[in-house]
Amino acid sequence: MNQFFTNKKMIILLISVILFVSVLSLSLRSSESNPFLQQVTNDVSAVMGRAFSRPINAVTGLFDSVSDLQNTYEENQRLKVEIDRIYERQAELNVLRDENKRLEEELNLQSSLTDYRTISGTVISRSPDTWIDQIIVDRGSQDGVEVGMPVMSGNGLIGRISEVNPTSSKVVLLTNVDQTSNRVSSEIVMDEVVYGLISGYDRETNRLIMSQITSTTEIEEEELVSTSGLGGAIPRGLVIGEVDEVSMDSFGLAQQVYVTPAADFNNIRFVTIIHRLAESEAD
Amino acid sequence: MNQWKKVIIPIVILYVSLLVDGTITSFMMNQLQTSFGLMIPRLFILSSIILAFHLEPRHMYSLSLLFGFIYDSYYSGVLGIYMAVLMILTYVILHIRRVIEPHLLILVLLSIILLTINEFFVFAIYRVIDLTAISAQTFMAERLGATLTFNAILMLVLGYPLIKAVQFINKDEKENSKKTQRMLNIRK
Repeated sequence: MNQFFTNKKMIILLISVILFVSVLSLSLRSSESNPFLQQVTNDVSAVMGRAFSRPINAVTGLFDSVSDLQNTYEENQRLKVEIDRIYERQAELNVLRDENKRLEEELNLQSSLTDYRTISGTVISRSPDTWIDQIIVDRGSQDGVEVGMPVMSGNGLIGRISEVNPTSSKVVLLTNVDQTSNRVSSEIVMDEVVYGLISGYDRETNRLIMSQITSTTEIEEEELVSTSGLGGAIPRGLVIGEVDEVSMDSFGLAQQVYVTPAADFNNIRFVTIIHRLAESEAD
Repeated sequence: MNQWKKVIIPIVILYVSLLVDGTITSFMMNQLQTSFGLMIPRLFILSSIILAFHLEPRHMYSLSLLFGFIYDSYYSGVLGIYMAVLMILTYVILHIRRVIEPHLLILVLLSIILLTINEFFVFAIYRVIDLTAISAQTFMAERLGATLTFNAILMLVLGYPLIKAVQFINKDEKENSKKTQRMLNIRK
């Protein structure tokens, strides 16, 4: 017993194991803001990281614009047809918007679940070991970013803010295996609105899984899946993807929908952070 | 001047490799997902392996603690994992380096072994704290093989310039010690 404690190496090992476990568990405790030291480290690293991501962004942007130039003619033809349709839709939209406004006034609605403000940012970096699939974005609490805000890229939802520093923040992607962080309440608007929960990601086929669907309505393929705005800080009507396959869940009780995401999770360069104007109950 | 170089060069090498890891992942995710698995760039671990062969033990331990903290805080927000794994790797290398000369090919082979330790340790911790649900078999099939292949090649390509850069730190010191030796001799 005595010899055991005089062994210097043993004591050092024990102390470091204790320290390791306590630091790990302290950092796992989710709190609103990070310790000051961590904020400084993350911000300095984010500023340095920009020195690497800026030039690469510029070069890829150049190549993208060259490849855009190559198929300009075909695209132009297609867009001309599209424009004709847009005029019709615009007229319809104007009427609907006007009607919506008058109805809102009648009902005394302050702000509905669909109203939001956007903050756009650039991706600096991404966690190399994708155990926690996170990207680092160059917008922070100084720009009004808060924990829990949804983040879009291209035309679809990619995740939500998990950590905020003064000039940078982290975004947890929907592809995360972490089961606690990627639940988004979603809906499919058909004749009847179908509510569900985006609760998983199938890495092999690159599809999101929408489960806990209570409705028994038959869901058709290629229907648009969007956020429902119920719960949390996510507004209504952000596109998630479209229905790829409808099956039953493992118990055979409810429907389960495989959703092809609208955003490309492997190539995220610019993001839009969404700030919902309607306050949720929790705030 | 010498002291300055000794402090700055390891920090610059580690910091740049840490940031490059993240940049590679964010811009080349499509290329990193291959048919035989997901490749994780570990330039940071590779450069700390090379540094551990050349720096003094105390210096290397404090560097691995500092950069382990930065890596954890910047990328995952779960503190402690890379701090611990870098300490373990440093400890192992400090024992190995008494027996082995750091030639490039030996370093490539050694990095495969050390990266296996690294990957398994990180996986085990994430498994224990329940941030991942995949089994050890899936982990080995989908991540380990591809990561080891990718990083062995990375070591083969970038190892030589890194070794040269690290040797550059100690080069002047040796000359200086010779110089002081000479001065002492003259005084005698």
